[in-house]
Amino acid sequence: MVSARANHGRLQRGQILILFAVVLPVLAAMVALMVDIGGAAITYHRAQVALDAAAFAAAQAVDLDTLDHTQRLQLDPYLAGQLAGQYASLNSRGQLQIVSFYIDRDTVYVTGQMVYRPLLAGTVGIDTVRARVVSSATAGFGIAAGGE
Amino acid sequence: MLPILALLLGAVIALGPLVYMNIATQQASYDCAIAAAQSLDAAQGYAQGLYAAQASFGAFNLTPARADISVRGDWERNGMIVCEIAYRVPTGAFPFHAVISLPSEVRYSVSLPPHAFKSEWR
Repeated sequence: MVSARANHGRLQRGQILILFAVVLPVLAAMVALMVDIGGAAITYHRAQVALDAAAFAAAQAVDLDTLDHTQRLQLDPYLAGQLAGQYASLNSRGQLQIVSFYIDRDTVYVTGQMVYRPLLAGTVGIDTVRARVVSSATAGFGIAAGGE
Repeated sequence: MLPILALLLGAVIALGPLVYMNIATQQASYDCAIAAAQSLDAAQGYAQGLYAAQASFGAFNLTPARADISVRGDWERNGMIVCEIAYRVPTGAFPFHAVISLPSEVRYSVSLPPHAFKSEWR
């Protein structure tokens, strides 16, 4: 009777070990996947915020000469490009590359690429995750009577 | 075996809210900076930034009181405004928080130039 009970206990311990051996790698892989998906989501959102900031900054580059002479609101492409690059790099911590920059009179269109290096997916050959982010901004302008 | 399982389960449970808090803090920093950059007056810019950040956390259903919001910079043409937010993570609310190491805060900052040519400056 005692011997049968001991055998039963040993058998159950064996079953639990097998269960752990199967479940643990699956669970660890799921955690790894979640860490990388979460990391990619945070990086993507950060890149979007940085690109929005870059577009906003570029839209401040109003060409004052053109405005004085023609009364047309237009952006200075050189200054706008400089501002976009400066603020994209400042706000993205190197996780965003600007891939295209286009100005249509008073509106700036920027396209960037998010770069995320996974922490754990590298073990299965995924070294870098890239995604496209787009943004645009229009120059805000207008001097009201009560303005400066 | 069980501690490892607890560690993995704790990580699974904590990861989602942590990602959510990160995204909310990024968005709140951006909203704060955009609102602060609408003014060339430091006091008004500061107040606008603070309000926008708190409203942003509210929209994410997160407690604004947990956020330390700092709005600073030069509210001048060619100046730079920085909005930095540190959101204190409620680590005690997570199961297995004693066995898994969670960050105590999530911190982001967004820098923007003031809206240099907008009307209604004060």
